[in-house]
Amino acid sequence: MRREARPQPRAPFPRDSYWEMELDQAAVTYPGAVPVRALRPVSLQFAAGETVAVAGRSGSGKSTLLNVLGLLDRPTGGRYQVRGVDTSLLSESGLTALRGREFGFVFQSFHLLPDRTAAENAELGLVYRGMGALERRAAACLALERVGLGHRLSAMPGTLSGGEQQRVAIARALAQQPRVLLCDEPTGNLDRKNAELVTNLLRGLAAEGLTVIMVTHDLEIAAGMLRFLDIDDGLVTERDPVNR
Amino acid sequence: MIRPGVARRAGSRRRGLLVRLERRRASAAALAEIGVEPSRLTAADAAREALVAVTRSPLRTVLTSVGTVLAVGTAIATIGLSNSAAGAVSGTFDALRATIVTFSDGNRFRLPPDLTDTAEKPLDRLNGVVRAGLIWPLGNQGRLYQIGRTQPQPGQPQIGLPITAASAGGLATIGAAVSAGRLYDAGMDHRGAQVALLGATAARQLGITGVGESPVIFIGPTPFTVVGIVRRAPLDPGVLLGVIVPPGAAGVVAGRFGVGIGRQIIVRTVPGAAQLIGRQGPFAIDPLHPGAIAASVPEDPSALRQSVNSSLTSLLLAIALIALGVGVIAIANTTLLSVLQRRAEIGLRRSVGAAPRHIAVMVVCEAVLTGAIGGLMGTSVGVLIISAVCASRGWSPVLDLRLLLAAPAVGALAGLLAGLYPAWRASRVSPISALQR
Repeated sequence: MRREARPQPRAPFPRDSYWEMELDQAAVTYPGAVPVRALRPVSLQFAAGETVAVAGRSGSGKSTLLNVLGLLDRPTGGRYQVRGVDTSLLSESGLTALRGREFGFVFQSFHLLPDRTAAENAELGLVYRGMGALERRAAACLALERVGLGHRLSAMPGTLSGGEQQRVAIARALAQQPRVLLCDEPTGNLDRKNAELVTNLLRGLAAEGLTVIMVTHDLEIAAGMLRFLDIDDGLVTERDPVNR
Repeated sequence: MIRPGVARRAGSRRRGLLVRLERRRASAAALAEIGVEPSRLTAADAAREALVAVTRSPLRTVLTSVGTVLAVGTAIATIGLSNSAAGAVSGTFDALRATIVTFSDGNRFRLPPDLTDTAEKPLDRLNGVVRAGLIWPLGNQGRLYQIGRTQPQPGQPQIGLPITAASAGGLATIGAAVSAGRLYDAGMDHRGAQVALLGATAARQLGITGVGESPVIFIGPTPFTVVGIVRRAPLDPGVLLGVIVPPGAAGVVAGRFGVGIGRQIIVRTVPGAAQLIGRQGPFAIDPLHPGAIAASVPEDPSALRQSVNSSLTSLLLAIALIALGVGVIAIANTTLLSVLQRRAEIGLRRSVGAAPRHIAVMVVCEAVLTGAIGGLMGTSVGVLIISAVCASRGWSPVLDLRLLLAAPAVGALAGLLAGLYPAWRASRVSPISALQR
């Protein structure tokens, strides 16, 4: 009887998952004299093409959740699967490869390389795929066309407006043809008009089937999303995006 | 015997490595099933990224490579200058010493002497002889003769000076040149004319400044007319201290016996002929008794030259190595600073798919390129220094082409060494840092 009660060993990489990403009691605790529970155990599933808003006060754990989802950080507890692959069993190189192929990142402060043109910035991620220079440039141009900057290929970031810089950052993410776009307050540094432009762009991408997970304080943007995750002191609660 | 603790640790390390390898293999297999290939960075892309990074701020690159420029420049300049200087030293050595052969009587006290007044003539006919001439100190070496401006009389001051007997050929051989008057010639010698040359020092001692009024000096009771004042004699500067008389008149001073003692013929040869002339000379001087003539031939200068070169090169190479060490530290320091300044960029690259090893390769490539640029600049600086110094000293610049080609490679190697630690640091930058800034 006792033998039957013992849990069966799990296959290292189960591939029967329907979900794009799946957190199973995933948690992040930073060790120290007083351990910090940045993310309390949470189980979430994300399907392909979903749009998800993540909101919460500063320091509540939004970025930690985004880091875990984007494979920039490993959960210290629980399990995180991407397309059925248990990421805790992946090597550092494996995580890097999966991150580069599956996820695109859009940061609040753009993070463009100031001494590279818009096209060079857009093709940055493709450098690490061993693609030829021409193929890479073609993909970067298409991505810049997609965000409406096909006419600014040779522009240096310093000569672009904030909205244009953010669109170059989105093009950089799109050039990698990710399945998931992770955005950390992408409109935080933009004026109203540019914020709207970027938001519409992200909505358009989601409508094309891209999974978009966005940290935002903007309730209007959050209301346009399919799902809404509220984080408070590391505790994630899923709410209705409209009737919060 | 291996201690148990050490063996345990080694075993643990091996197991850890095996676990990591197994995890990498399993990861790659799992990711391949969902169509995710490993990240890749081609050599061309690594080089292109490094080139862009190095050229985007030329001033910073130049300042970073200053250490390597100094090191390689020092190495090239010191090695090149030591070679050039050694060449010049060798040239001077060859000109002044390695081309001089001295013949002397095998038996110094035999009469008549083997080296007669005309013994130098057959030597002049030998191929490779530039000039030959008799020249020897009268009396024993170091003997001083009483010389004055008047007949020796009680109460009149006399000065003790050495006297050298030299034929006209001998004067030419030692490179004698006058500041006043002229050198005596072979005719005066043959006639036994009582003429003398004064060395510049001796002339000052005797109070003779010129020969316009044909001054006379008395060697003992014998008057000699001063025909010239010798200001330089590079091969035998000792003659400037005394009086020089022709062999034809030397007997008057030293007597029949004294004039035959210690005779020498000095021969100036073309470079490389000294050894041969040293062998042929005795036969030319006295074909019947060549063994009676002793030849003094300088040692082959190549051994000395090699020794000088070797010592100089070792010393200067040591200096260059120290400079290179400083260069490595300078590049390492600047590269490390650059890594710290570019944490956000490194984090960004990691977030878009760069593996830690790709970041390390990028940093190393930048350091190698910086080092190679420093090497190239250092080579140019070194060549300029060599050219300038050689031009100012009248030396022929000696440049080793292999060294010039190797210098940029040495710079690149210095860059490689300098880049290793910063590369390791860069590869450990967490990608989260890109999000946090």
